[in-house]
Amino acid sequence: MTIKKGFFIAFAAIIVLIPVYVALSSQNVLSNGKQYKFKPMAYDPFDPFRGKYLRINYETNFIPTKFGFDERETIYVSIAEDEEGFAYFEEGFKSPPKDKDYLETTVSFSSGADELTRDLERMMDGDEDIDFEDMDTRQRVNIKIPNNMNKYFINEDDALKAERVLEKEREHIYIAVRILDGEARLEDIYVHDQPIKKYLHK
Amino acid sequence: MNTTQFLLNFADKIEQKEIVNQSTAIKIRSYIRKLEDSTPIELFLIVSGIMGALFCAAGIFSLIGHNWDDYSKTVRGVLSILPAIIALYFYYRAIFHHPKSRPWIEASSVFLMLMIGASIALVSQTYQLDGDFTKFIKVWAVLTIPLFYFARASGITILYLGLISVLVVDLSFGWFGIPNVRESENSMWYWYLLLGYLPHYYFALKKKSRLQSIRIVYMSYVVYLSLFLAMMVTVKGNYFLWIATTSAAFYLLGKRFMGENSHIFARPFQLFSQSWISILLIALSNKDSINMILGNDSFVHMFQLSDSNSLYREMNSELSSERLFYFVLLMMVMVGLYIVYFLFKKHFKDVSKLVLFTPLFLFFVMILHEYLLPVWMVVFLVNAYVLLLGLNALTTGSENKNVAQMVYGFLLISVLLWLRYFDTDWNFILKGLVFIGIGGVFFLINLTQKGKLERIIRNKTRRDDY
Repeated sequence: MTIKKGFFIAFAAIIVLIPVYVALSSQNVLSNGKQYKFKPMAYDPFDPFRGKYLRINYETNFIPTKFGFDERETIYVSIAEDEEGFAYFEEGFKSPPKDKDYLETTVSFSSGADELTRDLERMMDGDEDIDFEDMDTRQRVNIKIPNNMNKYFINEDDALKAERVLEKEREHIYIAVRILDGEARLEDIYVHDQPIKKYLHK
Repeated sequence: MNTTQFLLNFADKIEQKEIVNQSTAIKIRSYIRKLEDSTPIELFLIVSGIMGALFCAAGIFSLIGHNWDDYSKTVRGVLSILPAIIALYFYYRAIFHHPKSRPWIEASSVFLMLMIGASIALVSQTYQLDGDFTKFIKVWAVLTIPLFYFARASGITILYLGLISVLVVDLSFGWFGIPNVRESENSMWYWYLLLGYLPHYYFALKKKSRLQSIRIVYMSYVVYLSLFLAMMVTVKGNYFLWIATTSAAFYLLGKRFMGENSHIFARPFQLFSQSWISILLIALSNKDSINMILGNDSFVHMFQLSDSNSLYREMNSELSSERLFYFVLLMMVMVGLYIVYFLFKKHFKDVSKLVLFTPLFLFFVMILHEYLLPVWMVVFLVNAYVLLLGLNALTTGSENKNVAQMVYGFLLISVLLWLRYFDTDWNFILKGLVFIGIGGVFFLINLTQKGKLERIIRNKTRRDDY
């Protein structure tokens, strides 16, 4: 075997292995990650390489954090679930939290310690119900939606119908996202507890 | 009938008429066949091969766009490597079974490059990876680099440099859809990936020649345009001097490696650099424009404390570390350019000193304008420089029988005349006399040159055959 052939085989292997690696790591998150349900907002734009998709937005504003962040700085946000079982971004950290699921993203806007200011103003106005111990002294930040959560690629024939369903059934929709070791994969969109594809074709 | 066939028929005919004997006719025929140029048909095959690859790839991207989500994720995950594998097969056939066929190699390289992107797009569609677009481009570009070296494919240059240029520019749309172009956070990646490509350009260059093939000409256009865009968003401040210096550098490179290419469009570096230098000098040739431009874009303000009312000037006079870095870099490029020129002077033929020393001229104009001379004298200097540039192009164009250069010189002087006629605020009599004077100089030049034309016409009618 010539050197050129050896190089070609190595090159070909890398080209093939990259999609394989991406597929396997995604499959791993989808099989082993914990499922979270997020409440969405969506519409259908177009990607020249990958076709139609539904863009999904989440509540990403006013995430509390004990740390000071600049714009565009990397932030690790922990995920928690409310009483109804819906997930939300709980708190921002400088490094990945050890005992919780988290996602990595960047800070889009740092709004400062709003609640603390409000509480202090109330105290100065003579409100005596405020307990100094209970005061939330944390800052608030807005974050960018973490990677792999805001595009749901969909068959071109279903895109428009799906968009209308998302508009009409907003109250009965959630996004299933699997999270494992800081990696997120959008699993499916559920309408009335059915995957959107199934719901559209029922 | 093409020329070769016509000449072969002619050789047959003169053999039949016994004007030449059989052995001479054979020699003539083999010589005619050897002379036939295969470049045009090869070029046609390359271009049509690339077009075929591009259309097929576009079709495949569209098929991917449909989103075949009736199949399971696993099936689609496996299918996502299919485009890359099919393209690898064609590429394998090209480099190992048709290594001498440029059309095969160019077309299969374009196809493989696009299919690498298709495979990544397909897997990210299957697993809903909105991902980081710039990361996608980085992976795609890095995987494309080996294609330049395996079989020296050059056709993908435009796709590759177009792709990596996305990394340097951050395009956004502001109020009323006004586009806002600025440097992207990933701009360093552009330079790394460009470095990955440049050796390919260097290997394809005929180092000892001043005549280059159409392949180099094509790559030069793409490299120049990509580099210009990248520098436009990267460089901070001193734009006039930067454009002049890089233009002079490209002019020198163009003269060294493409100076003997017959057509001006086959000398892209010269075409762009001379156009830029003319535009810069013309822009500086008026009193108001020189005050405005040098007031805002001159390096001298970097070292002055701001005493002006102009807010713009105040902003630009800040000696930020970034502006200082680009100024030092500019000085290094300029000094490097002249060192290279003087060290290897014998390699650079027919270099116009006026074009080459424009950056230095502008450098001194900036200092003279700020500290030493009144504005009208600086304007006069710039106008004289442009006039000299135009005259020089006219005379050397005439000596080298280069019509394009003569037209360039004529245009430059015409534009200068046109602008000065309307914007010069002189007394009409004075303006009239100066213009008649310059016109007279042209007639004088005509007089001195007319002897040449007469000699040529005389020679045409001279009879030497008696």
